[in-house]
Amino acid sequence: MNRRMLMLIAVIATVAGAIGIAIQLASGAQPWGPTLADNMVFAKAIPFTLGLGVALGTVAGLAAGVRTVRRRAATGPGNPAGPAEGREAEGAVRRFSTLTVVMHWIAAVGFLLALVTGVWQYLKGILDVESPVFMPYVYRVHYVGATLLLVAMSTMVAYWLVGGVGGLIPPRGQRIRHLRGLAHELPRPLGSTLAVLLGLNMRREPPPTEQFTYYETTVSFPTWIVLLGLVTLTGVLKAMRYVYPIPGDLLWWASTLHVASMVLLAAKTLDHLRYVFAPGRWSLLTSMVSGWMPARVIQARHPAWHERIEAQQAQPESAPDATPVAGPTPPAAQVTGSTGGVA
Amino acid sequence: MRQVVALLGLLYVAVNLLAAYLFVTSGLAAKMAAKGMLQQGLLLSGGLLIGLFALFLAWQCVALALSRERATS
Repeated sequence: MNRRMLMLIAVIATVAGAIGIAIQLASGAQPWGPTLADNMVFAKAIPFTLGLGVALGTVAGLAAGVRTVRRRAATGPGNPAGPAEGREAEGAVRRFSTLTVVMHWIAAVGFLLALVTGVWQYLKGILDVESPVFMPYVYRVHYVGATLLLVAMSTMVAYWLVGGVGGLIPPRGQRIRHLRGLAHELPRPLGSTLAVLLGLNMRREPPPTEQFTYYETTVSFPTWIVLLGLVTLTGVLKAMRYVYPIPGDLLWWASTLHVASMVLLAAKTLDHLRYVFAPGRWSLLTSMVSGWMPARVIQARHPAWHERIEAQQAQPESAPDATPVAGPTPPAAQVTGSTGGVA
Repeated sequence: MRQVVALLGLLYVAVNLLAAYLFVTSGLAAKMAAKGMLQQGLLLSGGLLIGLFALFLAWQCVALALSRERATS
């Protein structure tokens, strides 16, 4: 199906859904108060929110694939990265696609809105105090944050699946290597303890860092995936309770796990900020704003990635008709960035 | 720029330390003890976890604020 047609259908379906929900809300026939009305709006909007995200991610994933093929055709089989973009000429390499950067920040805003309002609701309950803010507003902001998070998550999952993007978690057969890399990256006491616990051979040369650090692939990304998946699933269950009868026990567990994942996500956010705020990892932070990373930093701190880029850039000169290193048609992500490093 | 980011980080730390304090004090309150071990344990462990990670971030923010642009990027 034509990509524009797919996007058009998704936008029309979303707008139609929004209009339908708004008409029901404005009809005056619903007996709900403000909080329950917001809950119903959020619950009814979930399928449209997810659908829009999936369509957006699918279109972006397909477009990224087409761009890669066009670049390859224009520059020869050995240079799938294509001609140097402006910043490449200045000594920068793309680490994240524009879509990844935009969705990261949409998710960040949505997540923080949902986290702050979630903690507010929880603390109000346990402290048993009057909220200085009108509680329906707190719930409304919580639903807005959750909606932004749902759009960003569904977009990125679809984008990764359609675009064939990997690299965020250790690939099969390389988990031990990544754990060994992690043990070397961690402070010595922690790394040694991990090595003893998992039986890792620390005498071997540490594996060179790829596009993502071993902490990111073995700790950070998997933790985000599990916790965001858990908070989303339990949040959707809680939101659906007035639309569909959810058994009481299931709802109790969903609520408990929702709060538990919220607390763990609060800690994870602090850990994420701690990691990227380290002065030596400043370029990781800036790359999530610009999408680019200085080549000198890649050479110094991501030697395996640097080597791969160098090898693929050198190929057309040494063997113009040779197939790329990673196979006959590697996705662009393998060349410039595995989170869809195609602008 | 680093100093601005570090300052924002420290503000975030302050908010989290406040939340951690409320979690821990609520977890130790007699009223919460009556609600059962699960609720109490969640509050206490959650508060301690958030407080600990907030302190780690505070340390990193100070290091970021004091770092030099060229030496570390």
